[in-house]
Amino acid sequence: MLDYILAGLEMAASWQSILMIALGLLSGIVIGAIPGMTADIGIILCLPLTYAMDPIPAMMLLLGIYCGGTYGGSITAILINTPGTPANAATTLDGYPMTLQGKSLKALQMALYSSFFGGIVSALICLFAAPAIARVAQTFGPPEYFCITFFGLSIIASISGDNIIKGIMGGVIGIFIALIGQDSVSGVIRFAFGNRKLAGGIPLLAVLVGLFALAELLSRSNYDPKNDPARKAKIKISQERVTWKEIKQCFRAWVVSSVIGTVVGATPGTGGGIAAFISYDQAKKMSKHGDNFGKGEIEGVAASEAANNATTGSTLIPLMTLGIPGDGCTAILIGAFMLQGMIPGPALFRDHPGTLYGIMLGLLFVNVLMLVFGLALTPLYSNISRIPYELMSALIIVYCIAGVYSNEGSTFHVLLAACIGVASFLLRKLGFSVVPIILGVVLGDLVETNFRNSMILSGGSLSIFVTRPFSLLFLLLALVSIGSFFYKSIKKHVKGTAPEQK
Amino acid sequence: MKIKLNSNMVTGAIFLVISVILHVLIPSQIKTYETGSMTAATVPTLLIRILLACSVILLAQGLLSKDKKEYYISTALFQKESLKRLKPAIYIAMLLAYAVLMPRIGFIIASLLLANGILAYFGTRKWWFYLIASANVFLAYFAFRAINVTLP
Repeated sequence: MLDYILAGLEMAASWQSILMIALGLLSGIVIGAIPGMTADIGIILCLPLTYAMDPIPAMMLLLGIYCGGTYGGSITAILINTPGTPANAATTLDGYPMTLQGKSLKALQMALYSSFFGGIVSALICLFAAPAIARVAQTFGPPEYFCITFFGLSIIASISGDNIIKGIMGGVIGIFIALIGQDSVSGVIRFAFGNRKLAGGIPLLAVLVGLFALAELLSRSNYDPKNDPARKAKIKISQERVTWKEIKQCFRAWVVSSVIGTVVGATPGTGGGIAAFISYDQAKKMSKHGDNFGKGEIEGVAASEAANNATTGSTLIPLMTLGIPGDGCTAILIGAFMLQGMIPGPALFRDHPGTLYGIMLGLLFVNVLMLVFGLALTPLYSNISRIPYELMSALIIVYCIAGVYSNEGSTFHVLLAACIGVASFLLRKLGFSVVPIILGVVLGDLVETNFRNSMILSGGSLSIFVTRPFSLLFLLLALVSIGSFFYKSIKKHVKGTAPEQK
Repeated sequence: MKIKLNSNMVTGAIFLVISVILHVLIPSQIKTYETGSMTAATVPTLLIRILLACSVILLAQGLLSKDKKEYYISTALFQKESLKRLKPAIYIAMLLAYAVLMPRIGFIIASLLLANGILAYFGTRKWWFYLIASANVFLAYFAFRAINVTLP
């Protein structure tokens, strides 16, 4: 292990990796700080640039955007009461009241220190936990792989919103998209409609750009520049800084929130937003100043920001060891691994151990550099929300399309991405979430191949999935995941009808 | 004419039609000569049947729900206020036209038209926005050339 750590350290500390981390962070913080823009879009925009790179600098660029985007969202959450990303929603509760009290710099600094703390804790846990899980996972065969991917798909239940049927349909659509083209087992062409260009399947980048970037731009096509509150807001940063006393006061909140964020992040189907609210609630209960929460309490900012950044490292644990994406952003990162020729899952640690250690150690550098950039550039970043959206929209669309074309040099793929974008926009209008669709796309081929191989192994008997301990464990986890959704729904329903019965 | 609809009814109906069509198309779209219980058609067939079942459930949910919006189909649909709601259709048309035209007129001309078209769509009057957008089209072209990708 020490050999891998040293080899990984050498790769992560190369000038190319550091340069990519810097570029990723700078652009990630900008993207995160623009309300309505998320790290997802930033990663998709930069994916084509990573083709020509080695895996570690490529992943450093994308992880820089991921971590920078999660932190960057706190800037507008604190200054103009508009979270840049959903993960920063809890930060507005105390961050904005602090701005109103003339303590904006203090809040911004606390958000930065907390993000750094949470990010480092999470990266360290990822570094030591992931290889241990991967060692166990390397003994898995097709039935276990199938049950893992089934468990991955079961998180659709927790991310479907109010209607699980639409979530299931989204997952099915995603798997169906993944199956179009030549079947990897029999070589039979499926649903190509006689089009030779479809026989190779629908490229992942076209799906990602269409589903996330183009659909997001279309969703905001009703944007009115004259009535954008973010551009009208007057941003003035105070000079009052965080004191040592406040850092000591917040230390307990940092530790507890980082642990909560790491555990929540490692649980598929959750995310930074949930982690931030759970940690905020815990910090409020544990703090001596609990009554001041929601009125500009610095511990509130510390708890939510430590927690949401603590998810950034731990979401990589199920991704790298089991191939399960925890949310939309990590589903895109799975795509990035695939484009680099690495298939996330149990075999990844066996086939590319040095690269993975490099990525995990690089995540520590990402967090250190995030602190440096944040300290130096916070006043500059505070004006990001004034960047005109209409201009961003025009630029993003051009770079996205150029990226899709660059993948395989095909204008047909550009047309596919545009069609997927329009379809995704219409599905959003009908109340669908895009995350189940992308989960289906990235897991679809694995689900089918491992299901078929398991059936061949067992001679067509489904009992193979319950007679092997790990496949049974993942099946049970999937059932728990689905069961908890129904439990919550019933509880919510009972709660909603209770006053009527009285 | 007055109709009552909700999103579940619309979604259920649309996907019911799509899944029936896909189910009918399976034999012509997956020509497999495999024998046994697992073939190239097994999983797609299963998926289409799940989609079909979900569509029926969704349609039933929609029909049974009291939460429906009333829509009036009349000439008022073509009045100015109603047409405003169709504004995203212009954006969609621009995007699709761009994807269709790009192989014919090239990346630079198509992107210049699209980027400036988007700015005009949002009613931008600042000329330097158009300049920045146009400059970025050339920047994208040469940036991708630098990584050995020649855009059409």
